[in-house]
Amino acid sequence: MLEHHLTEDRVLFAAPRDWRAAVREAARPLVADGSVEPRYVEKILETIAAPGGTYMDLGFGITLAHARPEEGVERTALSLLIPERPLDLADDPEHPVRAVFVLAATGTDDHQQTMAELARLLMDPEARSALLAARAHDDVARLLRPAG
Amino acid sequence: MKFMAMCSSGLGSSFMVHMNIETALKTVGADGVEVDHADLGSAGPESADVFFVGRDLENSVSQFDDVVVLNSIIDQDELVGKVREACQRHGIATTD
Repeated sequence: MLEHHLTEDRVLFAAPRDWRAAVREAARPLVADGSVEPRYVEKILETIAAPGGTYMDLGFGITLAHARPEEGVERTALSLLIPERPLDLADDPEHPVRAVFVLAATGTDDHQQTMAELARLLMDPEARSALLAARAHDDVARLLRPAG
Repeated sequence: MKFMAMCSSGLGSSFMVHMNIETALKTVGADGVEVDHADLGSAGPESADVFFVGRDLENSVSQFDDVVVLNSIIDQDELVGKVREACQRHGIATTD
């Protein structure tokens, strides 16, 4: 199921100038296809900048940017941006960002299934390293295919 | 016995911690622990026995008795260790 979310147009490689630009860029495909309203992205930025907002840093340089369904989510969706160079989340050097997932959180069953699969991927140290080293969509897609 | 994962939205990181706690409970062989997740606004001290939060929310959880602070949400080694300690604190048998 993750492979249906992290399609080529939703896995981005870019050199955003700061964490805000990174979150905006990562969310761009979800706004473009109507999965989220633009205000959802603004809410995420506001939350990260607020005290404690860096909790969205899951560890190992991976940020899970998200807000609540009522902030303008249409359907469960996920996108990923891998910045060329690490950025500081909320301008805090304790929170380097090497990958940004944007989650359109609906709180529904398919949201739960997507989160379960994402958790499985990110808890696997090898998959995690490979993800952070990805330089093209193929590198990411390889990690999402069911193990054969 | 109930463990609760919390974050600001109650849907992203806390849900991930919830799932990872369930995995950790299996790893340590603990039975009879219910796991749930919630946003900080809706959980109260009565909502669970142990509360798990990421380190950035440590200052938002002073009203809770038993709080476990995680440095990383996706570091299973850390979580297994802290889940095992939480079980021991509450007298829940672990096999590993």
